Amino acid sequence: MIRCLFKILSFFILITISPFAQNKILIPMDLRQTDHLKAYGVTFHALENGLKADWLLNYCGGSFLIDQSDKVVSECLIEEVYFEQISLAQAAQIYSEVQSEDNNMDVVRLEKAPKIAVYVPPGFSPWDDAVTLALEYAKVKYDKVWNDEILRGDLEKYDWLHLHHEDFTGQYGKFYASFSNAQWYIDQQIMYENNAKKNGFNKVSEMMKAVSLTIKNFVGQGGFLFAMCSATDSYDISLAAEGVDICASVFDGDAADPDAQKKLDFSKTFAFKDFKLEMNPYVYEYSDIDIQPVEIGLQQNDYFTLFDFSAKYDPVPTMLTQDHANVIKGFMGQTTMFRKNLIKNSVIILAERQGTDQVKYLHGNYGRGTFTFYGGHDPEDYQHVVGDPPTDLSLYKNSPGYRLILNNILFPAATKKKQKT
Amino acid sequence: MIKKILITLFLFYSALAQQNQMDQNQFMLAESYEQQGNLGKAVEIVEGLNKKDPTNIQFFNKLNTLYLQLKKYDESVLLIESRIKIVPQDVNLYGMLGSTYYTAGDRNKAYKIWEDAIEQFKSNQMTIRIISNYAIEKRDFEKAIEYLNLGKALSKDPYLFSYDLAELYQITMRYREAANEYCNLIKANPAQYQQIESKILSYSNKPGAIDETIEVVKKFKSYDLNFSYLLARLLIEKKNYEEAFIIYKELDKKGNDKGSELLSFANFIYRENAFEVALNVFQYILDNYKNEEIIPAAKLGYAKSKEAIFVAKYKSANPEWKTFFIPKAADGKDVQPVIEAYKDITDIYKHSDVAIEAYLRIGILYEYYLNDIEGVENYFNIITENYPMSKFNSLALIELGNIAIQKGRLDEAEKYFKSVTDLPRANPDDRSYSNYKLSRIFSYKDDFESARKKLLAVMGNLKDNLANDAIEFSILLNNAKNDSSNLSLYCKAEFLTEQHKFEEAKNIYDQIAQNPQAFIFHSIAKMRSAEMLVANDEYSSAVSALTVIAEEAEKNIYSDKALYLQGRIYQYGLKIPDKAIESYESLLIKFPRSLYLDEARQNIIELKKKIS
Repeated sequence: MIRCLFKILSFFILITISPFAQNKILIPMDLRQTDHLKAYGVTFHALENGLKADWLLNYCGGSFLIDQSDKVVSECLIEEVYFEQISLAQAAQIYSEVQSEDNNMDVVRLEKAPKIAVYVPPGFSPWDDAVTLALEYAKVKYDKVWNDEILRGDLEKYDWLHLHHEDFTGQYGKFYASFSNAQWYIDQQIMYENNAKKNGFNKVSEMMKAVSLTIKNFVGQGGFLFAMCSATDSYDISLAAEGVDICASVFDGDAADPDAQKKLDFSKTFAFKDFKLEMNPYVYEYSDIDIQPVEIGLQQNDYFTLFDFSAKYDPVPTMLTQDHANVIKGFMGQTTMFRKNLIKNSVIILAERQGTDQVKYLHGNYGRGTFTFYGGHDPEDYQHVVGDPPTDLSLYKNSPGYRLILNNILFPAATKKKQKT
Repeated sequence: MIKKILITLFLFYSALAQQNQMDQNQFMLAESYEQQGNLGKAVEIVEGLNKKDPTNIQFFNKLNTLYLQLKKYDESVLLIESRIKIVPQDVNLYGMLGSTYYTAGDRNKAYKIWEDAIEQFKSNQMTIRIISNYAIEKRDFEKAIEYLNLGKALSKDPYLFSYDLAELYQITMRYREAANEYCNLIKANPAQYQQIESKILSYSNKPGAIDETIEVVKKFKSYDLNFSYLLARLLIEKKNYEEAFIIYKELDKKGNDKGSELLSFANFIYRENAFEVALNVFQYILDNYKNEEIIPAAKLGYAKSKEAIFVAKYKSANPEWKTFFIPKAADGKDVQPVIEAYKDITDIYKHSDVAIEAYLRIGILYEYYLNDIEGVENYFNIITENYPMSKFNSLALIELGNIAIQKGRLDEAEKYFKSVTDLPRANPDDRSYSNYKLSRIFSYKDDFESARKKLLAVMGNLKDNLANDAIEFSILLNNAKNDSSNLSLYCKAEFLTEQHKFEEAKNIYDQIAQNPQAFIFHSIAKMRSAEMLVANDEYSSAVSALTVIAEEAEKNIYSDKALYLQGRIYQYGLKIPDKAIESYESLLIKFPRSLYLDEARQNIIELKKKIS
């Protein structure tokens, strides 16, 4: 009788324990990871499916710990994402290690997949934008929005907005000198002009300023803004130039305000101050914020370094700088890097070229939201030019530069925790 | 007295020249200020110069530009108005005045000034062009279109501004109107056709452009043959080959090019893989031009199109997913018309290039699609014996070699493949293939040393598609040097496999697999045995055999391939998608470094899509 009871008890214990024997999935993000970029997609999809995920800051390159799920396992297998199935006891050990005061690590709970919008004009191809390339590759869902959607208030539907190399000053990317006769430039100008007319603006520059202000309100109300390449400085310039005509006649049909520089209001910008505008339409530059190629020098010396933040005290910058490499190869763009002395004191510098005044990656708060600016066009294409073929991300599965982009899409999923400082 | 007058005149002109020089220097100084960005100072200087000489057009233009740069629109208006008083017949000034108002934001005033100018100078055709250019400069394309249309009406010449209008319609994406303008131009002056066609084709790929343009061109079709050509070009751009064919037929009837346009069209769509339409076009040519020079090419095109249609249908019915299989013999009813089409060529155009190619195609059809290797050599022999200099000779020799292997005549096969390797005109791919086949033949004859040597020639070029197979086979030959009895047995089985004698081959593979001494051949023989079961459609037994291999894990180098093949059997043979996914997932878990991972992942994604 006792033997029988023992057998039943053993069976019961077995069936109770077995589901828990492997009830966490660890996705390490250090050098063991086979596909860092798709790992973000797997975590994002887990959140979409209602699972909880923990972001283990600074643990094995910023790993993810997800509830056991066959779906997640299957996705990891299909997408070639390295993972480990671990027991609760092992998970507890990891938590204890991460939360120990002796380690610069912490746990951030990811609750809900953020709703993502990417600002792109109609007819846009994903390969012209590193973020959409990364999102497509990681199979993360996103919506495309443009001026019409932004101006009619659609941003309130989203948590995260990405801007890439768009020009918010209304100067069509300042490609006038090289491409004013190119068909794509002509088509683009007409498309913007028609769009401005449709939205009740006489000039494209006026519409772009209205768009910039709407985005600013989105951030003020708690939105997350991530901008790359020329969307960073052109966006801030557009905010500073509210009510000032900075566009030459080739862009908007009338001359720029001769006193435009003096009339800039830097208190309206997110990140930059005291910059000097480049108002010559034949010069492919918006202002002196951007670092020039001559200042960067040789490609083989172009690397930027991520700052090390305290995971427990500064979780947000820590999340944004999770990476398996600390020193990352640089890449150019219309806006490559930002001049340090033109960055506001309130802004946190996340990455820079060591020993220089060249800042690659920065983050700041505005109202209830945040903004992150990342200089350069494509982390795996050193000098991307118009008409270049798309970067095949399957060849750069472990790109540290692209990881920084994807940190930004998971960061809005984090549960807000009171900062310790 | 004359002397005095001359001296006075000289002094006067000297003073004037000096003054002009001084003004010019002042002007250049103003330009320097302007370049520095000191617009205020520049204006100050040019205002002085303009005051001194209000008739000077250079001063006037510069001053107006500076006013506009400083957004001093009222001053610009006053300046232009004062100039109008001096030269009231200058239409440009009205254009400039309107432009200033436009820049200042007063569009209605701008339009009024421009329209008044058009009214005032309507007898001059240039007025319209000048004023519309000012509107274009302000990117007010709609207004420019309005003025050009007005100009057209005033001049009573419907083609006067057609080019300008068409360009503007195209810019503003009004493709229907653009096409209308261009078609009117062709109608008025057919000599401009080529130029206009290239203009239309330059934007026809834009969204919506092609449909709207086709719609318009159709309406003009009855006027001139050029419209039919244009329509056909546009329909080809749209890949609407059926309708393009109708147009080409009409053109063919009306024109006198004796089917050559149709032949180019047919060849083009054949290359685009539109075989059904191509077949119809070739047929049409054959029906309508019985004695023309184009007929041989048309007959060959017809037969090739027919063959392409047949092959596509045939391939979809064959289990191409298997490593080995006996291709099903095609229905004679499907193949015979193709063969007849080629025979037609060989009968009529004896000794021609098209006839030689036709012999080759007939042989291939018998050999591969009717599985009829008896008597087929005749077709290839015609080429090798009668046309040794033909580019098809090496292909014919290769096929003769393949047939000899099928028939078990290895010496004969060796002779054929050797002929290819010796042929100076043979292309590198054919030579490489023949070297590989020679190596296989030597191995079937237990001459492993010669087999190894032949493989070296293939492995030398790593870009060669056969290099991988050659490397794999070479590794086997090299590693099995000390186990020649099993190597011989294995090669015997491979020979049987090549002859599609799967049952007999399986017995030998099993025999090797069961031999504990056959260390190197153990894995591959087991795998081959399972593949023979698959080839014979014995799926359940194959799955069991493959499970055993997969479970051997690292003990069998083919265990990952076994799981992959198991997935394929479930996917295509037994058609159980869940089981297929299970096999592929198992492959992903157990063999994370397998060569088959990418394909397995792709298959999982496709199967899951189908299930959902």
